Amino acid sequence: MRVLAAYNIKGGTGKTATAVNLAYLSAYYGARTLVWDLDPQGAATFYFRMPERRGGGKRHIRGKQDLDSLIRGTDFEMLDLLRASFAYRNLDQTLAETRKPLERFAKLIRPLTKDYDYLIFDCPPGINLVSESIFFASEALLVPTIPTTLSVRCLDLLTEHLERNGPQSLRVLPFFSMVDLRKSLHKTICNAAPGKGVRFLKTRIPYASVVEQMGVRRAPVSVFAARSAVDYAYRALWDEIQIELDAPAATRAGQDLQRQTQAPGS
Amino acid sequence: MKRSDETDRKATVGKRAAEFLVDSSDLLDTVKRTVEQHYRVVAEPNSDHAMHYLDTFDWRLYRSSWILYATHNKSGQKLVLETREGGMLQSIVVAELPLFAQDLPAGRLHEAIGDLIEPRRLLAHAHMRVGEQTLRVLNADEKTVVRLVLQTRALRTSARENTDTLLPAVVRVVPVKGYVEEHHMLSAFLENEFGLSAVPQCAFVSAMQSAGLTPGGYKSKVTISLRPQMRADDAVRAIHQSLLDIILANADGVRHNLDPEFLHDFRVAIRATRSALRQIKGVFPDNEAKHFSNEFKWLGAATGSVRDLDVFLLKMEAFRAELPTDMRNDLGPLEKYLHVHHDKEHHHLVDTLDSRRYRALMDDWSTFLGNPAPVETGTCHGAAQPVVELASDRIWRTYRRVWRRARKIDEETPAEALHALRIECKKLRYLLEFFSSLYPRDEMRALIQPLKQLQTTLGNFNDREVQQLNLRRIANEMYQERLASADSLLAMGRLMDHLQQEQLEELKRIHTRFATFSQPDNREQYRRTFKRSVEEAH
Repeated sequence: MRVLAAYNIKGGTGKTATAVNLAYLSAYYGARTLVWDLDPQGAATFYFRMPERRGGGKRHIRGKQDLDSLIRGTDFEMLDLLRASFAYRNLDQTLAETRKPLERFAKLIRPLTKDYDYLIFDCPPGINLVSESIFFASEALLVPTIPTTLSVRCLDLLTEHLERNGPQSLRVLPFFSMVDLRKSLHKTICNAAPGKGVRFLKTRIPYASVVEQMGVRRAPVSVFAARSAVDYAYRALWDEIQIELDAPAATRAGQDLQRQTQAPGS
Repeated sequence: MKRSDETDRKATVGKRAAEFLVDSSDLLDTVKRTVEQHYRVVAEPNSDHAMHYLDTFDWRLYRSSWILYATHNKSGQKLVLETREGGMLQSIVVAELPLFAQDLPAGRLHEAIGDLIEPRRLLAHAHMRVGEQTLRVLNADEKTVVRLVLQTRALRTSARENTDTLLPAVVRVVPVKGYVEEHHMLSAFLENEFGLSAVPQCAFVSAMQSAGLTPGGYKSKVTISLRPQMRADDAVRAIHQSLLDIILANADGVRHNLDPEFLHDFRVAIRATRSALRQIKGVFPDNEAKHFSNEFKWLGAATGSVRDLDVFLLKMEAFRAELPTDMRNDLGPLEKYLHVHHDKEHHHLVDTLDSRRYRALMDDWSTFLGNPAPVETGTCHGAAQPVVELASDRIWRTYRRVWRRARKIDEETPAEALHALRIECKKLRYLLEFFSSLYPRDEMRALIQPLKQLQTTLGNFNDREVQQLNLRRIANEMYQERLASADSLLAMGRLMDHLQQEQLEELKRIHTRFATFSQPDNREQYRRTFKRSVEEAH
C-alpha cells in the first residue's frame, strides 16, 4: 500500500480537491483506494455524500476500535472513505496522550496494508503533532501550492522543517494549484521555479469554477466535468505522481530529503 | 493452498455480490420497475460490453478457484480477477489483453496468478455479450448504498464457435462497504417479491456449462476409473483412449505453438502410450502392438528437438540471472539462435502433423481402440484376465527392476546408468498412474510421492547433462557460422560450468531421494499392495 498525504501548512490551497480527485482516478484505474478525511471540517466526507461521524474520534486513534469497521464504500467502485469526525478538532491533544505519538498513524494503518493499494490522507492545515505523525506514516506529501508569495513561503517553511526534523524516506511533491495565468503574479511565480531545493511537478491545476462545483455536485470533477481542463489536469497529475513515486532517486522531482544539499531550483 | 495464503486471499477480496438468474426479459423489466418504485434509485445509462473468460488450456485458474475475465466497451478494457465465490480481487484498466504471465499488469493480480499460469498462454474459453444497466440505490443523502446490476447475456464458447447461446438474464446485488443492511434488504426484497434465488456460483461458469463447455474439463493425466474385475484388454483400451484424447486435445496448440505446455503434454501422452504398449503385453495382438509402438516412437522423435529448444528458451531468464550483470546481454545471440531454430524445427513438426503418416496413425489407432477384436488365444493370452491381476503383476515386476537398478547407484555411477534408472522409474510411474483407480487412493498417493521426488531429481540430473551437450553443440555451430562473439561464447562457457555445478548437486540429492524411496515401509507397502494381489490371483 502506498501512503500519500494531501498536505499544506496553509489552508485553502486545494488539499481536499487533490485528495478526492486523485483518489477517484486511482480507483478508476483499478487500484483499491482509501481516503482518510482527517480534517474536522469534513469536506472530503461531504463531497462523498456522507455525514461526518459524531464523536468517536478518539477511540480508533488510541487503537481501541478497529479502523476497518469505520470505513464506508463511496459511490465509486474500489474507492472507500474513512470519514472525518468533528472530534478531530482535538486530534492533536488525543495524539499527545498516546504512547509514541509520532509513530501512531503508521501503526494504525498497518492492518489496512493488505486491503488497499493507495491510502490518501486529506490533512487539516497547520503544522503540529498530527502532521508530524502523518509525515512518518507517508511515502510522499502532495503539496498543492497557489502561485503566490505567501504560499511559496509556506512551502519553504515546510521543506526547511522537514530537512531538520522530517523522516528521511518522506518525499515532498509540490505542484501549482488554482493557477490563473491571467494574473501576472501567478505567471511569474510559476515560471520562476521557486522553492528551496524543491522541484515542482510539471502539472499545474488551473483555477476553475468546476472545482468549486464539487461542493454542489458532491462528486469528483472527473465524474461531472469529464474532459474539462481540470479533469485533464488531475489525470496528468496522477500519472506524473505515479511515475515520480517509481522513479530512481537521481531523476526525481520534488524534494528528496536524503539529498538535502541539492542546489535550489535544481 | 496453504492456510496462510487462504487467509491472505480472503483479506484482499471484496464482499460477495448476490446473483440471481431471471428467465425472461419481461421479468427483468418488472424487477427494474418495482425496485424503482420502492427505492430511491438513479439509473445509470445502458451500456454494452463484451466479456472474455480467460484461463489457461488446462484451467489452472479455475482449478485454483480464480475467475479471470476481460471486459471491453467503447471506453476501453478492464481485466477483472475474482474468486470463484464471487469476491473481487482486482479490476484494472489495461491497454491490451494479456497473453502470458509477463503481460499481466504488475501488482496484486500478477502476484496472485502470475506464477500459477506460467508458462501457459491465457486463452479466451468463452465470450459473452452483455447489455447492462446499473441502478444505484441511494439513501437520504443521495449516497449510493447498494448497486443493482441488470444484465442480459449471450454466450459463445470455444466449443461451439459459431452459435450464440442466449442465457438467462442476471440481477446482481453488489454491496457497498459499510452498508451491509441495505445489501441484505435488497437481496431479501428480490427473493420475496419475485421468488428469485441466489446463483450458487459465478454466472460465467454456469453459463459456460449450459453452453456445453466444462470448465476444468481438460486434464493432462489419465483419470479414468477402472473396476478390478474388468477384462484387462477393455481396461487397457480405456487407458489408451484417455491418452489419445490428451494427444488430440493438444495437437492444435502444438500446431499453432500457443505455449510450450501443449507440446509437453502431447509428448508425455505419446510416451505413456508407447510405454503402455511395450509393458502391458498379452492384451493386444503382438504384431499390432508392435506396429503402433513403432509409429508412436516415430511421432515422439519428431517432437524432440522443439521440446529441447522450448526447455532452453524457458530457462533463458534463469540462465541470465546466473551470470554477472555485465555478462547478461552476452546471451542475446544464443537466445536469437534458439528462436531461429525453434521456428525452423516447429515448421518441421507442423509438417509431421500434416503428414499422411500422422493422420493414418491417429485414425488407425482410434479405430483399433474403438473396435475390440474378440481374440483370447495366441499372443493375447492375458486379454480376458481381471485387470487388477495384470496391473499388480506389472507394477510389482517393474518395481523390482527399479529397486535392483537403484541399489547399485553410488558416487561413481556413470550418467548412462542413471539415465537407465530414470527410464525404469518413468515406466513404474506410468503404471501406477494408469492403474491407480484400482487401489486405495491414500496408499497410491503414499507410493507415488517418493517415486515422484526420485524422478524429479533424476530428471534434473539428466536435463543438465543434455543441456550441457546441447550447449556445447550450439556453441560450436554458432562459432562456425560466426554467429557468436567471443563474449557470447564466454558467457555460454560460464553457463556450462553452472549447469555442471547444478548437475553435481542433483547427484548428491539422488542418494537421499533413493533412501526415502527404498525405506522398508515403502518396500513393504509395494509388497503388500501388489505382490500379495499377484499371489492371491495364483
